[in-house]
Amino acid sequence: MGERAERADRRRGGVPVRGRDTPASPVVEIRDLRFRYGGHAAVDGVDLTVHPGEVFGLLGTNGAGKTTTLELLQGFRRPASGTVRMFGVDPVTAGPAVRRRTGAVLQQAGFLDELTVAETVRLTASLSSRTDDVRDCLARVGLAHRRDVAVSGLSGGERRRLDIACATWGGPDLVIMDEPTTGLDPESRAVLWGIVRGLRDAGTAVVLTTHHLEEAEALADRLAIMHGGRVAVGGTLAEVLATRPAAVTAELDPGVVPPDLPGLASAPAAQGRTALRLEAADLTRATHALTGWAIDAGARLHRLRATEAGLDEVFHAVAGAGEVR
Amino acid sequence: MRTVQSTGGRWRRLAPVEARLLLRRRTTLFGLLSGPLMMVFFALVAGPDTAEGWGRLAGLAGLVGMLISVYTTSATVFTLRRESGALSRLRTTELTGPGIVAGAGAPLLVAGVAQALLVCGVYLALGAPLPVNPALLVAALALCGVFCVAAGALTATVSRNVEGVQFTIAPLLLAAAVAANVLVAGGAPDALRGAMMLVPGVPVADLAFRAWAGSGPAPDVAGVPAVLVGLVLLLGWTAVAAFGAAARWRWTPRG
Repeated sequence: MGERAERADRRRGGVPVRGRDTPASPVVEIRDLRFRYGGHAAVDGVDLTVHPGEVFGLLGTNGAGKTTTLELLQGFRRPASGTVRMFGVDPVTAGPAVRRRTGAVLQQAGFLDELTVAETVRLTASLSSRTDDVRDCLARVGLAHRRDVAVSGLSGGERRRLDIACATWGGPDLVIMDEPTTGLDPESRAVLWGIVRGLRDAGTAVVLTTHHLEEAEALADRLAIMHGGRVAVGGTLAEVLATRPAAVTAELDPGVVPPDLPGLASAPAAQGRTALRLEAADLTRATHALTGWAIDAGARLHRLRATEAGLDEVFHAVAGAGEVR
Repeated sequence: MRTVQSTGGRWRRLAPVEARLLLRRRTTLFGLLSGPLMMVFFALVAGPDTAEGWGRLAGLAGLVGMLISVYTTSATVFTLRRESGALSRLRTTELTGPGIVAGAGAPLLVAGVAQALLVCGVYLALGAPLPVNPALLVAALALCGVFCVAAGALTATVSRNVEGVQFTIAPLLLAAAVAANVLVAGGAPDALRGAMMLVPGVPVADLAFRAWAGSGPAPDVAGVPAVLVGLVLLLGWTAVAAFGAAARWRWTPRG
């Protein structure tokens, strides 16, 4: 079994996906959600559920409908049809009450650049019912030493940390993050990942959109890949990966005739070799079939690999072919 | 999650921050100060020596000064906030949409009215007689401030960026300045002066003129006193600007 699938299975079985393991009420419930920009269906029948203490990854190509879904989720747009429930209420009609329990990290931070870091957090505090301490809040994201610096003087990573400090002020029950690590260096990204894990461990639900597939793999308890306004595939990482077949790949020496195995595809490769790709639901049996034939036939398999499907394969399959299942 | 009970009216907590930002940003500070400076400059150049002359000056300078300081700054601030993503960010807080606009607009309104009243004090110091109807003067300037904030919000909805604001504000600025000049200059027939009163904001010029000098250039309309006509027109344009801004409002650059 591949490392990613093992990690996914550990998460499914080990780290509680609370919606499955506990009867806690969902933080977010979306049913058959639809929204149009003129004649274009931006969101076209989306169903999602997010539970307390869960990181939910929302993936998709540009224009897939992720940001519109988040805007509908926060009550900033009124759905054409379908229902959105945040903490059990309609976010359009109960906006301030919903936002009292919600923090948001937007694609564009939108800070008032002339304010200092501490003034920015204090402004957040003054507009929030949640209570916290400015110094503690900044310390959590490693910005305590920059409290008197103007926001315009912060680096991209520091601005994002400040964004997270404001979003997590007072410990909200849900944090919505729209592509929070875009443009961040690896160190800042690692810091953010740690913060997201800390939120989850504290019982906060996190809805995260990202273009970085490794980020979704590393953080998300469950995820959905959107395409054309729909959720094309969703579930735990293991469930999502299972939508694409595993494959055994190898190369044969020039002149060796490939075996006649069901699901085997061949193509010319470098140095006159023949590339083999055997897709199968059962990776063990497929590997055994190919290596068994090679031993019997006295053929040598170069660059032999047996791999589970990766999230990138699922993503590209969705983006290229539409709905996977 | 630790919470305290919401006390409502959170926009009043945003307003002081917005006021601080007006002073910290050089472009908005310059915009705010240019209006009253122009009003004082007009007085020094014109040097009126009659109550009617001071009324004409108060009407013209009051309107144009408020347009320059409050209307242009309002359009700039709302456009800047939208394009920088600040409106989107504020929208994720517990503030309501109208609360965000009120929080950003209130400092402009207060600053504009305070400046205008300060300039009136300067006029008195320069030898102007006391206004005949101070209450009408304050009411006219306050209404003008509200109109300018609302018109600025409406103008922001058609401004693609901050640079574009200098073009989108021009039509109202030019039309109001020309119409107010025609109205207060004297010599124009009643019909033309009545028509000038229909230009957005221009009734302020008549109301301020009337408040300072005791009479104004706008004619009565079908037996309705000119002062009432002016107030109704000003309120009407303010409502049009406010509803127009609400209907066309965009929280994000992309809509």
